[in-house]
Order: sequence, then structure tokens, then C-alpha cells
Amino acid sequence: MSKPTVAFFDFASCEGCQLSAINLAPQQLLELLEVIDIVEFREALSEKAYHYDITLIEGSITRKSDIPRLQDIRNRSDLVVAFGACAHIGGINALKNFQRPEEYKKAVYPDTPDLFETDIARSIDAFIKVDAFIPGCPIDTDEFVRVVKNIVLGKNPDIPDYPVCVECKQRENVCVYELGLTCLGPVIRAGCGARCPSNGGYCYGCRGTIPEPNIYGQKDVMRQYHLTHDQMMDQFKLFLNHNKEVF
Amino acid sequence: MGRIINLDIRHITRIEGHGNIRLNVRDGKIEACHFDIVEAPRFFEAMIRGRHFDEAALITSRICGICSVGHQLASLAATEDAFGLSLSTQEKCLRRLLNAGEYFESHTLHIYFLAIPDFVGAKSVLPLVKTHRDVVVHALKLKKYGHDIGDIIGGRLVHPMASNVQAMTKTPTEKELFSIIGWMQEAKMELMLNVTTLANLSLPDFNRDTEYISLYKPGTYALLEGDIFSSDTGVASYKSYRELTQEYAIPNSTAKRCKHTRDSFMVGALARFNNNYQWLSDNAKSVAERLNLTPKCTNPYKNTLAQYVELIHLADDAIDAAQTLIAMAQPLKVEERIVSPVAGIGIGSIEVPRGILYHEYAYNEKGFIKTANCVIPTGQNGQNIENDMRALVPQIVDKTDEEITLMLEMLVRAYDPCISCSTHLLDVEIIR
Amino acid sequence: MGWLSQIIKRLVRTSPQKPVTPTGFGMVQTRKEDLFASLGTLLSRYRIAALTERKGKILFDYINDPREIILDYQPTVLSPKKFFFPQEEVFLEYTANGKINPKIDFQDTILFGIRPCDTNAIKILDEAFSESNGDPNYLTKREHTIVIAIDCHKLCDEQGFCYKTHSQNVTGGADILLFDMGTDFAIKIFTQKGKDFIDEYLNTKALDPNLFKAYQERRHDAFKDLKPFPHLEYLPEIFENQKDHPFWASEAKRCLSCGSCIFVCPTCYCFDVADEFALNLHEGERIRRWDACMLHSFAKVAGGENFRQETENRVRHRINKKFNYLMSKHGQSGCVGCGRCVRACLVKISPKVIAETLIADNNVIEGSAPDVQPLENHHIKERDIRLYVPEKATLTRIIKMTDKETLYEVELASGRPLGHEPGQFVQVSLLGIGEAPISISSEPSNEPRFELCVRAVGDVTHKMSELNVGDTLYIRGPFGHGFDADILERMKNKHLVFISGGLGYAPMRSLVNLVLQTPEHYKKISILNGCKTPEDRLFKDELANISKMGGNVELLETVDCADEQWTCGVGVITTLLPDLDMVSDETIAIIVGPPIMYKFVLRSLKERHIPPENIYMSLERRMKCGVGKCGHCQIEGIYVCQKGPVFHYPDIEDKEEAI
Ligand code: SF4
Ligand code: SF4
Ligand code: SF4
Ligand code: FES
Repeated sequence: MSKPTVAFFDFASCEGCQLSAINLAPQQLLELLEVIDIVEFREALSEKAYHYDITLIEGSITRKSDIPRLQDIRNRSDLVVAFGACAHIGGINALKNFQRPEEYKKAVYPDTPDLFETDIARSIDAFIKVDAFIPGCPIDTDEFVRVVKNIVLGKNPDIPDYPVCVECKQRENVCVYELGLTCLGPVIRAGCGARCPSNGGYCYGCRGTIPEPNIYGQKDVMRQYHLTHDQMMDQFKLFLNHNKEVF
Repeated sequence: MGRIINLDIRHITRIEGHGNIRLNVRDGKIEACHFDIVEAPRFFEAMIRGRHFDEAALITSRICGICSVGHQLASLAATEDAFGLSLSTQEKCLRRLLNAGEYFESHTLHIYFLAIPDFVGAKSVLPLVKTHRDVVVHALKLKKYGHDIGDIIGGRLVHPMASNVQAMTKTPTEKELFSIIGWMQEAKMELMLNVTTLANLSLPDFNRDTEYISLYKPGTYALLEGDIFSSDTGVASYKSYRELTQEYAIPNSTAKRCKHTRDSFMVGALARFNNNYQWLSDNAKSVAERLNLTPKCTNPYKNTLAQYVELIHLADDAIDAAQTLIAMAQPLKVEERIVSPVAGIGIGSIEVPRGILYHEYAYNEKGFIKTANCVIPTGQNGQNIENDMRALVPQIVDKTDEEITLMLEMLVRAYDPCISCSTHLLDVEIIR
Repeated sequence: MGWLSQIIKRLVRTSPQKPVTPTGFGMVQTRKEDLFASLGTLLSRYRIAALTERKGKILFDYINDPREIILDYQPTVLSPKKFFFPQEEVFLEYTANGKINPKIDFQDTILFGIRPCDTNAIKILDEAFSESNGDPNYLTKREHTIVIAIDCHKLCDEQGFCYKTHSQNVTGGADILLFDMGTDFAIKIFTQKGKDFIDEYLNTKALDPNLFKAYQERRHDAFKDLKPFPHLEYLPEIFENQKDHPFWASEAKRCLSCGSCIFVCPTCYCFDVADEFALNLHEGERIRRWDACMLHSFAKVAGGENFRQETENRVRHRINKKFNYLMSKHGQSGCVGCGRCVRACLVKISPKVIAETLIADNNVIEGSAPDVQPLENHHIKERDIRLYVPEKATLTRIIKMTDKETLYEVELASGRPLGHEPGQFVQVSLLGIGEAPISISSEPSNEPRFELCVRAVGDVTHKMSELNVGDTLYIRGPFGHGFDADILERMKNKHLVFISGGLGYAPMRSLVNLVLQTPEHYKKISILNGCKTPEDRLFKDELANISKMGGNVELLETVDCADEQWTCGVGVITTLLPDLDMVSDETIAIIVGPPIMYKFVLRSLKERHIPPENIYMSLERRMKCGVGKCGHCQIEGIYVCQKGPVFHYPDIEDKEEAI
């Protein structure tokens, strides 16, 4: 089996996913390099290649001028993986989609609002075909390794389609609702090991929703825990911009 | 000479985010010399308007993956400043540890993965896996320590979830604190053993004095709190940060630059080293000596060495913080958070690996953000990088295009610029 | 049909047998300090798990010092089942070159201080993990654990409802039961294991009857107003009758399908299986993890069909499993009322409320004794250490059948014949990839070779399509109930009507080819086969031969979309039935096809007056373990991998989930 060539690219993002991808123990990273051949990774390498077997794209698309580059990458890749929340579901960038462009441009660049080109933030699958995704803000390192392994082995990426509560319960956490916080865990895709509820936080939905989320039930729960409509919507807005049914 | 140099280096590699270098030299005269950021702007300051104070750090963390902890700590500091909250010793120690985690990850990445390959003539760290395996393993280990500290203290290093206004919502166990001490001791030992790797690098001999700005708190190597110190003008209150980061327009350009007394200044490891050298730990000072690094150092390429020295200091500081925590009653309790919002303005200033970072929020009385302003280190350094380039080019103009390109790239990399932080692009020239 | 009109059904039952408490070991007494001192010294020999506090939460966990034990019970998030059946467990270890070893991670353990509800739950788990096949991992851990329970002398909190199903009484599931009498524990010994333990490690004295009486009175007072469900023993019937009750739909609307209720449940035992290679792609593990029937894709097969697509079906299955399917078998409710699921459920869906609602809306008329096998003194079955270990086999022939399907001939490395019945299946493993159930396409034979006809739809089947002759794969099985000797006997001298659609001919072929060896034993053999297009037909050459056989053998084919060469029928499979010459009680029909086909075929057969007794069918379900453990394949409590895939229609006729 010859090693598949792998490339990393990024658009509007914090590059935290690329960083998380190399958050491996030395032995693990060296083993990973035995399995794949990283040929392009601007953040860490200067090498370039023309064709890639597996391309991981981080970041959302927030301006038209990025689309040709995105398409060009797609054309040179066998398999495109949306890498992290920004690429997968628009990520935190899509929070601005709830404001009018004139508003947010003026807020940041009061004198020169039109200095920079910008458009609503979208996931990459709005523009190109995406073969797999690794969710999360940032991605989970173990999941990244597993997905890469699975793709190399010719398996499905195997991203969980059950909610965060599953992993939260398996860790025997006390539900954060009982601690006075609200959590989107019941409708959000697991795979992070319920990281936030397990570490003093609550799930704000960075991995996007499960395939058939019961949004009605989720809102019902949040109402029962005394959230106003606005508070509820603020929580959903953080990462679920693309879930039109929520708003 | 009659030579025309026309360099257009797109998407410089091995830096955070997208930046370009453009250089035109005709007959030995610089016609254009630019360092441009081409990252898509992301409008964080607009996005957090109207959000609750508890979410400010969570959102601004996403400005940058590599200094997410820094953004969080600056954000928390701004909110705490606005509401008049002070921190317990426990909380301060936890933040020091989390911060150390980030420095370990960030500095290690920069030193070994981004900077060093240039000196050994490699395109990246990958070939080094074969040629310098020990060094690569050593670097990966250091980086991993950073991540592991982040996991323990913050829940994860990239976008931690435990850091909250006033107090962390997670506490480490005694056992975990002991392992942090163990890792830091090991890291320190390894770093001291490996000093020669760094000492042997042949750094370009290029010096240009500039204004160095950093956080300042007498008695400490200030990273998480303090006022602002300028090597030109001395101490200034952190509240006056806007004066130290004045924006101005360049003629014939729509871009904005940042200046204080001169037309540019430098922030980052070298600035901190120059300004706060006396408060480095003894171990750090002795390593600085072995690296031949003394303040005031005006060679920007040596920023990488200053980072190395800082790692030693941070290891010492983390050990101290962990020991302080261990000395408290175990197991550490999650501290109660009683936050009552106050309308007003708060400013947080933090030293992140790349330099001083400011967050400023205006809150309404319910604790929702009205306006926000974030000033990132790379934005502040932009003009200084360009000035360095202008000073450097005449010295190297006889070299080949490839050599010039490499030297310029190395210069940009030495600043460890983090362009993905493009909340607010201070220094941009549009590429049309 | 209105749900109210159908709930009045005559039920014949009397009150249930009162649980028999095993006696013979008697009771003793010990001082608490003595017991804790013993536990302290035992820490060097045993791992001790007990109720304790970790990071501010109360849970059962391994302790380092008996002083960590909390005696005052507070309900935990997870039940003690995690010690026998952990959240995640490696059960096979292997190398890419085929060294496969079962793995059981166990140690001598004392499980201290579990409560009555959880002891009753252990009885149910013991049964689940030992019936039909002994699960090696669970049973080994169970055998190496001494369970010391503590009686509850009051209800734990307002969510607990053990008393609704008599589960506050310990009747087994523990080796020793303690009664907290202040400075002393009264001790009731349930098993020989418990007796040996006490004799060896504990200072005891004779029971002080007055103290114990005082304890019992206190306990009695606390529970006397807490009454069981009315008509407790009729819950199975009540639930059976009310599958259309509107409450199911209204509860389902609120349900988040988060699965929390299942994970915290002490009697839920379903699991998922995954293969994982280490990064070196050389060493691998097969892992099982808790799974939950409340999760959306629990019953979804690789081909895409989801047998419990709607939340309502999942809620109904979950609750019926407890109060109907398990209870009708054992007389003990599968819900022990620990209240964990209610505490865990954010929308507070409660088995108690559901049961009360359904009971209130039912009319019960009591009759004679129930026919149940009580779980008392359930004998833990021999565990089968090789239950999950596949054996090596080689691909000896590969024939591409259509675009998607391929026929593989497989030979077991041991040279043994597979020894299967027609209709059975095997589990095919590819190391590092996974395991998939595949029905056997070849007829029974004495040769070590058999055939599998596979459509590439999942990881394993896709990967199979990349294999070459001579490559290795791994096999477990044959499994399941096929067309056994009795059924074959019944078929003699009958008119056999085989009705298959799509991939359905693959498993059907095993039986068809068997009967075609001796067509003279049957009155007539009609083979009806339907496909999407002529191209999609499997075994084209064999079918051509069958069509030429003549005599009492006929082949009728139809496709949904014909091409120019096609000479047979066009239309769905049922178009072939009306013209078929059948004598109703002389005919036996066998159906195998895609899920939607059954309903229509059964309707047509009914129109042709074929009685249900003369119909057999093979049903597809999601299967993971193949041996009646993982729970994925259930149709209303029936394990398809055990009782099926071949079913006699009358056995499942009234099961809504079946067809
Ligand atoms: S904390 Fe969140 S993820 Fe965990 S059980 Fe509660 S709702 Fe679910
Ligand atoms: S718990 Fe939620 S917000 Fe946190 S990492 Fe997981 S999906 Fe993202
Ligand atoms: S815990 Fe409640 S919401 Fe979640 S699956 Fe169970 S019944 Fe539904
Ligand atoms: S119980 Fe596992 S497949 Fe039937």
C-alpha cells in the first residue's frame, strides 16, 4: 500500500484545527507519518505538491475571491475533508451572518467600511463537493487520527451520529443542567468525548447537530430551565447558523 | 548595477495565517517593499457586540487557535477590569499554568517547526524527522507538554472551556499538579541540554534599533498583568494602550499602521526580553548567556532565541505556580463565581507569545457587550517588519533572488507573525 | 382502529408467584467496624468498588481505603453494571497477520453496597448474558466478583420507584445482603460464594432478633404506603394491548433521542462493536461499547433501512422491553424502578408515568397462573471463551455477479465443513475493518467450502470487493435459525413457492438448490424472482438452467424496468402471484426480499388463501454479535439472530415491528 498524499489548506479560520491535528505524542506523530505523506501544510511546511489524495480544508468561505482557490484545490484532490467547524458548518465566523454587513463592517472599520471584501460566512460544501468531515471547534485530535486511519483503510470516516449526552453519560458526569447551566448536548453530534460538560463547561454546539435533532424538544428543555427566547437563540447562534430550522 | 529585483512571495509558508511580501528594487533603490496580510477579515469585534460577558472569552478565543489562551485571558481580564473583579491566588496560579501551556506549544512550534528548518537548509521539519530525529522528538515532547497542561487546566489547550470570568470552572487534582511539575522539570532539563542546537544557528547579523513595547510589572517577568513599558518612553498605564497603538494612514494607501513615538515599534519575546530581562528566572538568564543574548538586543532574528529563553523561565514559573497550588488545601475547590455586571469599559492587556495583546470592551449594565476593540501583536509589528525589510534589503541586495527571498521570509518568520488573528487588520495593503 | 376499543381484552391470570427467597444459609450479624476493618485488609487481595465521592459527585468507584465508602445511599448517575459490562471494552486482540486472542480484563473484585434495585437488575443481566450463549467477558467478571448489597430501609428520593415492581426486595443478584442496624449490620447470605467469603474474612456473631425486628419495622413503615403498580403481573398484556395508545406519540414528541435513559439503566445491555487498528496498522482490537435503542440509528442496517426510524417506535420498544418482553418471559419487571432514567432525562419521560397511564386506560380481568420462568437462583451458564473469536478462512473463488454483488467461495482453514442449514448466516470479519453478517448462499454440504453472495454496502463488504482469490478472511458461525430439519420435513410433498426480491435470492438460493437436488420429493416447485432490471438479477446462469429443468419445476421472473431482450414479466413481484396455480393448503410459501416486499406479498398470499401456517420468511435486521447479546436485531423482544432470520409466519404475525 503506497502512502496517500495529504494536504492541509485553510480559509477564514483560526488555524486551531491544524494545530490540534499535530497535537500528538512524538511516537504517534512519527507513526502517522509512516501511514500518510503530508505534502502540503502551509502553516508548518514549505513543500508544495500538485495532486493530493486526501485534502483537509479548514475555514469557512467569507469572500467571493476565495472561491476560485477553493475550487482549484477541489480539482486537484481525490478526497476533500471539511476540517473543523468553520469548514463543516460555517463555525464561529457565521455568527456575523446574523448581523447586516453594513453594521458589522462599520463596527470594525468605522472610517473605511468597504476596505475589505466580505460576504456571509459559509461552509465549504456550499461551493464544492465534500466527501467527509471532521467536526469540532477545534477538531478532536483522536478523532482526526481515527478518520485518517479509516480513510487510509478504506472505511467510512465513522463520525458519531449520536448526541453529546451519550458520551457525557458514559463519563458519569452530573448533567450541567443540574448545575444551573444550559447545554446543547442533546442535539449536538458527539465525538468530542463530551469535552465541555466534562471540563467545567457546557456544550455550545461546535460539532453541529445530529442528523435528526429534536429542536422542538431541546427548546422545550431550555424553556423549562428558564431561558428566555433571546438567551436560547443566542446559544443556538454560536455554531448553528446553518440549521435553518432552529431560527 | 542596473539590476531589477521583483519579488512577489505569496502565502508565506510556516507562519500562522496568510501574508505576502512584495519587493521591487531598481538600480539598488527600493521602489516598493511591503509585507501584506491577505487573510480574510473575520469581524470578531462586531460579532461579540450584544453577547453576554460569559461568552466573550469563548468567542474571542476563536480569533486565533495558536494563542487562544491568550485571547481568552485578555478577554477575561477586560471583563474583570470592567466589573472591578480581582482574582484569588488560586485563580492566578491556574492562569499562569494555562498560559505556560500555551507558550510551550506556541514557542516550540515556532522555534523548531517554523524557524529552525531554514537554518539547516530544510524546507520543513519533515526532512528533519530523518536527519535530526532526536531534535524532532524533543520538540514534539515539549509541544505535547503544553497541550497536556492545557488539557489539565483548561480542558484543552486550543479554545479551553474551563476558563471563565473570575474563576476557572475546573480544578486540577494534586496528582495532576505533580505531573505538571514533573513535565516542566523534564522540559527544563531537555531545553538546557539542547541549548547548543540553538547556539549553533548562524543567525544573520542584522541590527536595527526600534522601540520595544511590553507589559511591565516590577518584580515579575510580566505576562498576565501590569502596565505598559516602552523602551523609549518608560511606563504607561495599561489604560492608555490606545496611545501606544496609534493608528495612522500611509499616504497613497488605504492601509493603516500602528505607531507610538517612532513610526514603528516591536512587541514579542525580544521586546519582553529587552524590557524585563532582570526578572527572568536564574535558569533562563544562564541560558540567555549561553546563547549570547543580552539586552538590549536589536537583531530581530534573535526573537527566536528570546523565545527559547522564555521557555525556561515559563517552566520555572509553572513549577512555582503548581507548587503554590499544591500547598493549598486539597482537593482544590472550584471557586464560586459571583459576578455582578457593571456598565463601563474594561481593558485587558496580556503578553501572548507574539507580543502584547489588548482587549477592550464596553459593557451595558446587564453585562452585554456594547462595543469591543482588540489589538493584536502582529498588527502592531507590521510596520516594524516592513521597516526591518527596508533596512535589510540594501545590505543584501547583491545576493540572488532566492537568497533575498529566504532572508526576507526568515525575517518575517522570526517575528512569528500570527495573521489568523485578523480581527482587525491594522496593516494591510490590498492586493488588486 | 381506536386504541380504546381494543384494550378490553380478556386476560387470564392469577396473582403471581411470590418470589421465593433462598434460605439455607441463614443470617448472622457483624459490627460495622469489623466489616470495614476486613475490607481494609482485603484491599490487597481484591479490588473494592463502592459508593464514594469523586470530584464532587457520588458514584460507584474503586476505592483505596474503606473510609472512602459512603453508606448513606444517594442515587448514582450510572449503575454498577459498569463493573461487569463497562462502557467500553476490548474483547478481541489481533494482529494483521491473524493472531487473534479473546481478551477479558478482570480481577477479583468486591462490589460493595449496591442497593436492592441494582441486585434485581443484576439478575436480569445475568440472564441476558448467559441465555443461549454465555458471554465470556460479562460472566468472567461476574464470577470473580463478590456482590455485597445493602438493604434500603427507605426510598432513596422522589424519583425512585422500586416499590412499583417489588424491586425494593432483594431476591438474588447479590451474594450477601447487609441490613444497616446502626452500629451493626445484619447479614443475610444468598450464595455459597457469599458464605465462604463470610466464613473466611468476617467476624460474625449470632443475629440479635430484636434489633433485626426493629429494623424491619422501620423499613416496613417507610414502605407501607408505597404500593406496587395495580395489576403489576399483567403489565405485559397491558402493554401489548396498548401499542397504539396516543401517549406513545406525545411522549415521543418530547423525547430528544439522546439515549441517556439507556446508558444509566441498570438492566440495559445492548452494545455496538467496532474494530480499531493501532496507527501502525498492524495490531488491532475489537471493541464493544454501550449502545442505546433510543438512538436514531440503532436499528439501521448497512443498506440504509432503519427498522425503528420514528422516535415513537423507539420509545415504545424501550418501555415494552422492560414491562412487556422481559417481564412476560421471567415474571420480573425489566424495569427495577431505580429512577436513574427519570433523573437523567431532561424532558422527564418516565417508565412509571407511562405504566401508570397505560394501566389506568386498560380493563383487566384476572384469570389463571402466568406462564413464566422466574429468575430465582438463575444458573449462570458456562461461558464460551471463543464466542467472539472468528476462525480463519480463505477466498477460493470470486465471481462478479452484477455491478454491486459478488459471489465469494470461502473455505475454512481448518478444513471442517461449515455445517449450516439453509437460511443461516455467518459473521464475516476483516481484521481492522469490522464484522458483518452475511447469509449463506450455498446449499448445505460436507465440503469445507461455502458461498456468500455480497452486496458492497458497508465497510466490510466494500473491503471484501477489493480482495483476491487466496486472501484471508475470518468467519464465525453459522448462526441463527434456518430452514431446519422440521421445516424441510414439512415441505415434503408440498407445492413450494419461493418468492424472492432483489438480493433476497442470495439466501433463498441455499434452500432452492437443496430442494432442486430432489425435485421429486415435492409436489411442485415454483420459483418467483423479482428484480429492478434484468441486469440486476443474481445467478443468471443458474436461473437459466432452472428455467430449462421442466418437470415440476417452474421459474417465473419479473423486473421493474425491462430492456429489449427481456421476455419475462414486468412489474412488481406480486404480479406473478395471481396467475400461479396453487392449492392453498398444499402450498408452502417462502419469502425473502427487501423489507417493503413482505407486506404486499403477504397480502397477495392471503388473497390466494394460503394459511399463515404455510408461510416461512427470512427477515433482515441490524446484527452485530450474531449470538443474541448485542440487542440490535430485536423485533419486539425476539432476537432475530437466535429465533430467526427464518421465521414461521404465525410466530411473528402479530408483531408490528416484524413486517
Ligand atoms: S451536560 Fe449536556 S451533554 Fe451532558 S447529559 Fe447534560 S445535556 Fe447532555
Ligand atoms: S461538548 Fe459541544 S461545544 Fe464542547 S467540544 Fe463537544 S460539541 Fe463542541
Ligand atoms: S433520556 Fe429522555 S429524552 Fe433522552 S432518549 Fe431517554 S426518554 Fe428520550
Ligand atoms: S443480539 Fe446481536 S445480532 Fe442479535
